[in-house]
Amino acid sequence: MKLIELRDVGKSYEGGFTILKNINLSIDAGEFISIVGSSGAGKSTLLKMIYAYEEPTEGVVFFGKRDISTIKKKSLPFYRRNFGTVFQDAKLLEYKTIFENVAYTLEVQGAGDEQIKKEVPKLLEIVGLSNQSEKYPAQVSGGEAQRASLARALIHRPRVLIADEPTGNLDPNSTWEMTKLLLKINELGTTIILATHDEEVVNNIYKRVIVIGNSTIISDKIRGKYSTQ
Amino acid sequence: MFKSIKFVRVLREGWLSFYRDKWLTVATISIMTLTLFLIGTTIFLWIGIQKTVKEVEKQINISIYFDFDVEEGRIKAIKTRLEKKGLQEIKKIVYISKEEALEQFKEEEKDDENMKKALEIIGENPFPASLMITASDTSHYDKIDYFFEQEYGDIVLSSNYKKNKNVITDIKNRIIFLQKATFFLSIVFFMVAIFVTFNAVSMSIYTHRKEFEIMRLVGASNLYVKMPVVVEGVLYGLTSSFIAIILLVVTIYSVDPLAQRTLENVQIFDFYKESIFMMTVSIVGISVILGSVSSYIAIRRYLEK
Repeated sequence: MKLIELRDVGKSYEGGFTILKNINLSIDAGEFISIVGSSGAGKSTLLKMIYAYEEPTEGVVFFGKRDISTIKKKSLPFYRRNFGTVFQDAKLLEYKTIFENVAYTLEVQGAGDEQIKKEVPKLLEIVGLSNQSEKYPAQVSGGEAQRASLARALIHRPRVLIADEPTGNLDPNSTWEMTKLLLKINELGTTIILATHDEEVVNNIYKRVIVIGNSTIISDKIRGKYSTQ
Repeated sequence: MFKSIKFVRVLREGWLSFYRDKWLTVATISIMTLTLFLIGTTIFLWIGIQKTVKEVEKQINISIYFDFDVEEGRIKAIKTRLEKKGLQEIKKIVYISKEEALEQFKEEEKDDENMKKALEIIGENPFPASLMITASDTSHYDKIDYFFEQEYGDIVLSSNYKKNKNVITDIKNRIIFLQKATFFLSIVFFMVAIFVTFNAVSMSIYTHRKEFEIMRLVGASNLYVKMPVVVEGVLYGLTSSFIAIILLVVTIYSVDPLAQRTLENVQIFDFYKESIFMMTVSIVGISVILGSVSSYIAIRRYLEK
């Protein structure tokens, strides 16, 4: 079932700089997609257009059957609840504990205290952070912060997980752990869109790979590998 | 629908934000306190001037003197008529008989031997009966004087209005000038207060701008991001107004002895006690409005995407 579709999408900035053009892409529910390309290729911009943080200057992005450009600004936060997002920098709220950071997503969506108390510890256990739940982001390692960020992205059971260079700041062990977690989450039915330039991660996953180069899609393989050579 | 559970969370988030960054909170509150102290002083000055003006106005009056042959009963009848359904411009009328006028004169001039001798030479009471009139506003004396001229011209001997007109006009002009000057000063101080508070709150919000982006990325609605910031602004306002009021009380209490010495027994601390309710409500109200509205406006730019 088609979940996301980009039709002839392009993005240019003032001054005529084009970062993406003629992007045609269809993503089915439950897929695991790796979007690869060198730094500055436009991977993050592509993701931002999907979760409506940037507007395309050309073409249309559909979520389900809905053209997302028709969503009113004040309704965008509700649209974004379809997504969980993980970034290279974990983007945790510094003044909240790991538990509170994860709980925050549920809080803003109006979940009750009981639900929060029940679900957050479960997920923290899955990502291996049960013992770190009362620590603040500054008191945990980069890998742990990233796993906390992943837990926060998943706590509300989003339909799509968007991971933008989630392993960019991690050591090889943490990178491997994060990769395994992403695969496990995908097995449970969540669609995953991963943007990375880490060929080892992509090749270990061995699922659909979309390569971006020269501002457009230059390759789209169902079971792809990626080489920077 | 903004559920009650969210409302409690918004209050908690606002408090957390206020409490966690102590230095920033202290800096913002210090600026707001100074501004509110300035506003408080202006309000105090404004109330003081209004009260002084009223006191001065109370002391202004004119006397309408009646012919010597006009009977007391007739003058009292005029007084009663005016009190019951007379001129709205008249606030108070006092009848002063010939005898009372003489006694007053003697009391006032008791140390003046020449005056005593002059009265002995005259041999009889030279003072006519009169009505002493206080108007509801100093601008009404002209109309009152004209009214007596028209209605009772045949029995009115004279009035001291024309003699005192210049003094009354002068006092009136000074009052108007003082009121305008205080009003202008208040506007300037209020503008400064708004400008300074807005910038202080904006700086505080600027330091947390990345957090707003994160909040929106995890699906927080604009209202859910905005409201804790507004709560934080209210807390800034309440805390700084509390400190400003204490500072104001201490300052007025300290300045009180000096004012008593230099301003002929003017007791400004007593005067503050009389207006304490209005002062407190004004300062707290202004600070809460300034804090919350500044926060609301300052955060909007971070919620555009």
